[in-house]
Amino acid sequence: MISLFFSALIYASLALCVLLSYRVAKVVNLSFGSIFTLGGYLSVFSLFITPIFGAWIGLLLHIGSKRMDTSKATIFSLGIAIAIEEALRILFRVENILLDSRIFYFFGYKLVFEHFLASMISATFLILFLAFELKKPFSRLKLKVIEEDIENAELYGIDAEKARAIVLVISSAFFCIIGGLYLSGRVISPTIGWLYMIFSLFIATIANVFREKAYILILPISFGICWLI
Amino acid sequence: MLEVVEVSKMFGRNVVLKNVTFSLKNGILGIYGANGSGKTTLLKIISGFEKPNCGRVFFNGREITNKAPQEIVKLGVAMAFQIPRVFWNLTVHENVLLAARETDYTAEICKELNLEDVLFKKAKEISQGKVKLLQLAMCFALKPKLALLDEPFASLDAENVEVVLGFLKKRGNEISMIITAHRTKILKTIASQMLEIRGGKIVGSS
Amino acid sequence: MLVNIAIRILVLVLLILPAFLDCYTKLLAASALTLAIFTVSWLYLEKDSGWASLGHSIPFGVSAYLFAINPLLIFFSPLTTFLLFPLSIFGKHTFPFASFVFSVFLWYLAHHIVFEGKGGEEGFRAPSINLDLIYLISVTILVLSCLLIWKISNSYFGLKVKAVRDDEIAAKAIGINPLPFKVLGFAISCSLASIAGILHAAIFGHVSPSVFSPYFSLFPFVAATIGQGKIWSSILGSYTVVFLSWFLSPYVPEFHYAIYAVALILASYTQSYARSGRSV
Repeated sequence: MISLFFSALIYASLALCVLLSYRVAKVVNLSFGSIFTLGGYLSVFSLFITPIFGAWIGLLLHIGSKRMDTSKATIFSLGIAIAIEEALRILFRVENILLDSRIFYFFGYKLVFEHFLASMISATFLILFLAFELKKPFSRLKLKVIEEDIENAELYGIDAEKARAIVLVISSAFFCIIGGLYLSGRVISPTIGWLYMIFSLFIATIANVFREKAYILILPISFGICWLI
Repeated sequence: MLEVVEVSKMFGRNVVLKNVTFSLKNGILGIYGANGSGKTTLLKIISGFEKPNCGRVFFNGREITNKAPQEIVKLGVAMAFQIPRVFWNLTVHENVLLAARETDYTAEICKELNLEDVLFKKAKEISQGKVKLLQLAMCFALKPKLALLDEPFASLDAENVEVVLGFLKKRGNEISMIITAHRTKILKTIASQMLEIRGGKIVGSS
Repeated sequence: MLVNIAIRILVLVLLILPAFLDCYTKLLAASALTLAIFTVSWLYLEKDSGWASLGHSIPFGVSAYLFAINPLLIFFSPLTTFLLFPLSIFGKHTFPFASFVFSVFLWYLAHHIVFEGKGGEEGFRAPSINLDLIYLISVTILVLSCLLIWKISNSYFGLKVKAVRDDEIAAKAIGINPLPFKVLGFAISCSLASIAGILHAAIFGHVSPSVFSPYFSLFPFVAATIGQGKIWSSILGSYTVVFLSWFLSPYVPEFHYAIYAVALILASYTQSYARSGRSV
């Protein structure tokens, strides 16, 4: 049950990144899977470089897909995903790598320390975002306006491009860190990230049905789906 | 020919049509009213693109209220939309041919509606006015018994308005029509009956 | 004009020449040929029906699996239409990504397909057919596919399919029921993709979960991007991807993915998707 809860936290935060990318940045970011995998490979060297690389890719995605509509931006992100995958194949000639992990006991439950850390970071991320959503009405309104109509938002002085950049950079950095932590103890290959991305996409798609309440309901939905599966 | 019986339509809490009842035996019926009065919704309900919340529509004695639009077309009711719905990546000729199903009749309709000069251009390459004429051509190419024309004169210059008026007057002998417009001036030159619609209700007829 | 003629001549040479060469070249050419049929099937769905699929490995892979499990099951291959068609409910803009996600899901699921103790990650052995015979069959099917698509596209039926592609509401307004034409568009494309999948399995005598991988899902999109959406040049594009991949993979692992990445990124700048009328 404990590990289920921690997994649900992680997937909820990943799904939140997917949802924000779709609603604010207007892109279904298919490169998240590869960024997640990249995090795993980078953790072989150091965990601290993962958010930097993730942020750079987010920035590249933003610059490359600035004036594109959703379809084209998504195709672009898929191209970036495959480019990252191929780069990993070229750099790490060995197909599969086993990542180290540390075990510890949490109230009697055996847990992987890195997974626990990933879930704590996810929880912090979710709490911070919800605090932003609930406490800052004007910022929340700006976000809502950008979600509704990005062109209209710009007409009325909202810096939609800045918001887009922030969302893509932070979500990519986040996916990279979580990948670096959550893939610990597993055998990784360049294509391992697809499944995690699809699962997060699935949760985000269900949450999106609830429109304005999506951000609040994302954790219960994630928990429900993790429990069912 | 057409009977509309106590048709009402709501979008959410917004009442667009309220207990609209009228009939048309033959001829040209002009429906006029301000923006948002429910003219377009009424035509969409008759043509099957919208379903009423209550009420019924009969055409030639058959109820058509819950029929699919393509079935209603086969019964003889054709619609020309206010914002043209055409096949943008097909040529003007192909668009009309799809409706007419014969090449000779296609050529005849296109000639009558001044489309000969753009016949082999794609619909997305021609002007808005010509697209409007194309929409009309497609509607009449179906050889309907009843044509529903939603603001057929909007976006047309004076010359094309005359072309359309001439065309409709000529066809008016064989085909019944319901034509909607904001203003009565043009409608009065062509319609044999008039209905005013305001706030979703019929408030006057002549 | 001259370029078009040159491309057609080159394609004809690539079709005929390998039949007289060594076994390895013939195998390579046969692989490119089946993937060319696959690309043609995708092109029909994208150009005439207006649905750009990024998961076309679904009919391709499922048919290959059916052929490997029991050759008689190939008669059920056209039913793969009903694996891809329901995804059209997401609309033209989301369909490409929904199909891609579904194909990746099938890719993972295929690792768990076990039948009579065989399958799983290793896949199934497929009935192997003489290479010369399969090459001849593949050439015939490619030529017939192109003819079929050309004939359908220029027929009244093809016009209706294009009309439904452009505007379903306008189609209803002139008495066309869009649903049968949408389904038939998918059925034609999926049937051709299924044939390509069966031929692919027959050539290599083996089918594994990799048949659902992004390599096959994205192949026709990439080949069509290289070929600028025209049939002959897309066939040439298929050959280009296969040949480059086979020759350069020993130096750059799975080199085709590098081509894919470039094609996808370039396509996002140049191509349009969800073809349906003009934007208002």
